Amino acid sequence: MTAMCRALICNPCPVVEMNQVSQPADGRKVWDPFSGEMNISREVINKPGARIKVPNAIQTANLILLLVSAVVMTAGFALGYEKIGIIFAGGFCITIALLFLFDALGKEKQVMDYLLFKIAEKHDWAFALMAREFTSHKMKGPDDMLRSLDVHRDPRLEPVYKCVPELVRPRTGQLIPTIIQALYWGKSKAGIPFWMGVGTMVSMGASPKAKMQNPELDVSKGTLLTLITAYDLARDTKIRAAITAESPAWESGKDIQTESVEFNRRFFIQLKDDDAFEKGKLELLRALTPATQDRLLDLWQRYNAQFIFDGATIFMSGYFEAMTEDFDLLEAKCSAAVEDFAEAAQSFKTYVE
Amino acid sequence: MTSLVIFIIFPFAFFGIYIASFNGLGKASVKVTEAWSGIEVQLKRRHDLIPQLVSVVRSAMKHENEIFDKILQSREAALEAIAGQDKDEISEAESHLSQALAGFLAYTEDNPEITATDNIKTLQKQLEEMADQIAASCRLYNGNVAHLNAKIVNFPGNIVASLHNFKQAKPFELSQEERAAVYQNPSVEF
Repeated sequence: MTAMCRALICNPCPVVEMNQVSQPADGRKVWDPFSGEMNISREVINKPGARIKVPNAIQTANLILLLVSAVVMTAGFALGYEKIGIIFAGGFCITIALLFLFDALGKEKQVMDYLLFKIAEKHDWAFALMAREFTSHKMKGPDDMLRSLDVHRDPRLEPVYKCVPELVRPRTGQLIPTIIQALYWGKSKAGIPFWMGVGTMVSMGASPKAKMQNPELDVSKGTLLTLITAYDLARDTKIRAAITAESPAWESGKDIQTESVEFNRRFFIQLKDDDAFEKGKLELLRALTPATQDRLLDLWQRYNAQFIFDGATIFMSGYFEAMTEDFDLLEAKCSAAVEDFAEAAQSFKTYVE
Repeated sequence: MTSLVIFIIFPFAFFGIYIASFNGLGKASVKVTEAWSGIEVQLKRRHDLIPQLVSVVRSAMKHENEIFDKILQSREAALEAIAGQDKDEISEAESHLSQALAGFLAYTEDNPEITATDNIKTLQKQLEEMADQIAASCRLYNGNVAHLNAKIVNFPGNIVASLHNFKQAKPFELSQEERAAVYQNPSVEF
């Protein structure tokens, strides 16, 4: 268990709950960044039944109609054209209903859950599916008009949000939050134990970068994968630092600076251990060799990656547009991401050793 | 009001932009120097490793003094080039050194019994790691150079640069031989 997490987590580690939830069939010892070694197996997800895939063009058209009806409805009511507002309110409700219908017919969630399970099965990784996160409003008191927003998530994810919030929550420089729908435990090809959380989002349309990287694919609809990984370096590097994305609009200049202008522009570098700042800064700068900086920059280019170094553990997060629902392509991209991040972790470890 | 804008706000804005440009150029220039020092550090690490390598392997390669002589001569030339601070000479000298080291690595591939000890394997790994670091530090340096040159070429930096004698920096490019030597991936079988 990382030193940071030991200080932050007050409740007993949820590893006991995880063991009770998982199928006990092939329980194995795996490395976990929050609880050390633990027993876990692979949850089995059944293949979803027949589905009706609504063409992407129809789904896109429905979304556009939803937006247009929302705007016209709001404008109609605001400007006093109530009849128009009511008509478009009806249209808005229909497009919302169609959205849920398309999702239900296509069994999007079941298909994605199954794909995530298949990835684990192919690589013989331990696997656990997370409960979906939802928010609820709660009134603070009978006379109090203020509401609080409660976020309900799978308890197995609490250590992640407590220990490495910089990598999961949206922040300046990284507006896309890291969603975690499934957890994996395994080893990279080089034998480095890792833990990974993966989430998916449906994306309608693709960024210019995704179009360039996937010229042969239909980019009208695809999958945005968010992931957070942790690797065991098996040696305390005595470095506790966060290397997170800098805002693209301006460079703060108040963080630790390396010799590379590009690296300083892309990343905000801060130590997490204020008690030994100068020594920690020196250790960090020595570990950020040119080759390591080059590798981290490469990961930023491809995955918008961010990093937290915590003693014997490196946490990395990122996302990429898979732009496909094809299992083989998704699996290849996921595996490639694991290996790319593992290589960066290995490079860091090699220098420290 | 118009005279307030003309005589107070415009001059302040002008001087503000001038100072910001000057400071930006100064900072970029310092970063180029800093990145160059990074390259020198990596080259020096390689130079320091070579005598160690030669002393460990020489006894196993008694009849191949030519290889060692070439490595040591290239190293001397590289040290002189770094002292002279001429980037073209440094690039050429380092490429000769890389070729000499590549010759040694090729010899060890053909004669694996020479590299049967852990010391030599460790040194070989270190040489490969250093080639990686040198290539990466060159990339970071060239990134800083591109940043400085862009500031000098663009407006209003081009005006400030010409007034204060800021000059464009030259990227440090690997020569063709160095590129081939660095990206060569000898597979040594023991």
